[in-house]
Amino acid sequence: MLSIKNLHVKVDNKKILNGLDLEVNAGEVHAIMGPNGSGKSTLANVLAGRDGYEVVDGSVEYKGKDLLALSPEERACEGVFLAFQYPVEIPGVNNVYLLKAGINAIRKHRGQPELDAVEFLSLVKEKMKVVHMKEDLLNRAVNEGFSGGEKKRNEIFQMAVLEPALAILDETDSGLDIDALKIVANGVNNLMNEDRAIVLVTHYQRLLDYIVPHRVHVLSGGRILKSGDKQLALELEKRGYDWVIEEASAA
Amino acid sequence: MTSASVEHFLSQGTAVSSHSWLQGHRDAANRSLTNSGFPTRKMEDWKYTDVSSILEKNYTFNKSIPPEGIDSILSSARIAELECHDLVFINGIFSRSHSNLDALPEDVVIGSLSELITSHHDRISHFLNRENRHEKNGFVALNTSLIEDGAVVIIDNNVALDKPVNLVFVSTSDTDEVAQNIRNLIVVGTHARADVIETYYGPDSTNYFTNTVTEAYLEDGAGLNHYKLTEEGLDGYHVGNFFVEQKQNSSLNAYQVSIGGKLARSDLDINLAGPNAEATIYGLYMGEGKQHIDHHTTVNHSSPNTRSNETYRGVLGDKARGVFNGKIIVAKDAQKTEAHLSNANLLLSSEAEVDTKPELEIYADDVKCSHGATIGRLDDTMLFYLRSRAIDEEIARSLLTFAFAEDVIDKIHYPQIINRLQKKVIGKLPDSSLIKDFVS
Repeated sequence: MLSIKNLHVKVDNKKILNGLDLEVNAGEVHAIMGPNGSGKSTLANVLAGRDGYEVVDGSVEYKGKDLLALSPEERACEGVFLAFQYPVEIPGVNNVYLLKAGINAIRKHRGQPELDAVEFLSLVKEKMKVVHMKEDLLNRAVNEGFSGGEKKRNEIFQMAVLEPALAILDETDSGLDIDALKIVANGVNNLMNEDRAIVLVTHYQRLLDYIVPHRVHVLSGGRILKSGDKQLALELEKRGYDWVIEEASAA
Repeated sequence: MTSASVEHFLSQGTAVSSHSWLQGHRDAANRSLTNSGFPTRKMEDWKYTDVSSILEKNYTFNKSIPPEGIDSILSSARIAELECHDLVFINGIFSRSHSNLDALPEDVVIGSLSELITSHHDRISHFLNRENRHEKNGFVALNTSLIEDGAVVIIDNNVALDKPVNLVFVSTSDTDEVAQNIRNLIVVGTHARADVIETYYGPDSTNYFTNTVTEAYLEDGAGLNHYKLTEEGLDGYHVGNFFVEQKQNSSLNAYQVSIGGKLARSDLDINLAGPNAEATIYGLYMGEGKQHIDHHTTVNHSSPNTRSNETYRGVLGDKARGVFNGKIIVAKDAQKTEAHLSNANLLLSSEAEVDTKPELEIYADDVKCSHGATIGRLDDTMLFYLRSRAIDEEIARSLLTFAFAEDVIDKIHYPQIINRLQKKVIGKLPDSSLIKDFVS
């Protein structure tokens, strides 16, 4: 589904990604772990199409298409979703209307009829249960006045409604208490099926107690240094990242 | 040029008024304009606004026109579904047949100046041009010199007006360059309340000029909600001055919206003359194409314990130009004054421009004042967020622009006015049909 080859990316003229390779197949959950400043968030933002990230080399293929050639909205229509590390507050833009416009843009792109108000509302009601979203948050402006945990939950709620094929979660688990973490995990596990893939960018092993990844990758210095299964995450939790970095530089 | 234009403009006045008090004001204004002329860019208050394109035209003032086509103009000018008393002026002349004053309550005087000036001579002469308004600038002087018609709204003590008064001023012409000179008077008695709306409207591609002055006097404990909707056509020029004099415990909510006109200049001068008087002002201006929109406000805290809160937002696209100047003056004796002023501007294109200047002049020492102005573009992180949720870039831009303007619009009490403004604001944005869903 997602094939990243030799990706080199500059931000403000500074090299952040240095030849990153990653293959993600449908039906898989991948966890990207790594120390601060290793390029995790850069990877997430490049995949979603944020401005200011200059791809100097390499390629990203998504469902056989050149992902980097698409605008952010085209990527979203094709089924790419980014759960933001810092969801932005947008005063004056209603949360639920944003979702309705989003889902209908995606449906239109797929050649499906738009959802009417009733269909949309029943979908929203159903998905709200998945993330235990409070109803009053729904009709507020996007993320305005939400607590940190509510913002993260809203990201997962949006993901649940938009049902992306490839979801990238950028440190969605950071700053969440254990109950909120379970809700996020529940949202992710609910979404997963053999046609979808999820990339979890995370600092901690904690989230992986609830979402079992197929692959765990260590990102450092803008490259994937080591890949493994869930055991790798546990080892990282115990031993930190230094041994991986040393191992890689020795090789 | 200036003296020739002064001569031309002054020659538009009609015969000597039979009311000598009025003729006295006219003569004084006439002298004032003859001596000082119209404003030029050398004057600090007119630094960014060049009025020479108004002055070089040969306007015919207050010209009566054949009624063809007026109904469709009026239906656009009126606020849909708003239950109100309304007074309609066409090219500055009161049109009784188009107005609706059938259900006026007792203890109010609402009508046209030309009709009421005789029957309510005492009260009108007591207030009209009371503070020598004509000394403010050449346009107010011209307006005073040409006083002919306008609206009068007088609410007796302790009366709360049942419905808003909508003053509708439309301009139209077949060929000539026409102008309207309007003088309105609003008096809200002790503990009385009123809502007054002024709508200025003209079709696009009609070359005309509106010179309007409104004076409002709020007695002790009076309340006035005042809406000025400047929706002149895109070839129309507008110069407006709104003066408010507030006695103790009175309260003003003023909404100043400018979305029309080739050049629209609106001045608002508030004097908080009695203790505990308060004024809340919301302004919104939007320009596109080559529109030039200028707002100047002065809030004078001349009494202790007075409060003002002023919020203006501007959206400028294409090659439009915005000007905002907000002055707060706190007199020496006006202790415990609280005054806040903010102006935020959104520039949608690299060629749009805005000049903003908040000013504080504080002569008292125990006050709470703040002011600030910002000029910015659409927020990149917000844009990216919306686009990552499958919202097309153009729509995302429109949506954020609308949300910026909406912050002022949603402060308005009447849903009918909110609807009207939302439609007008959205209508100015790309993909308007799509963002309509967001506000429906």
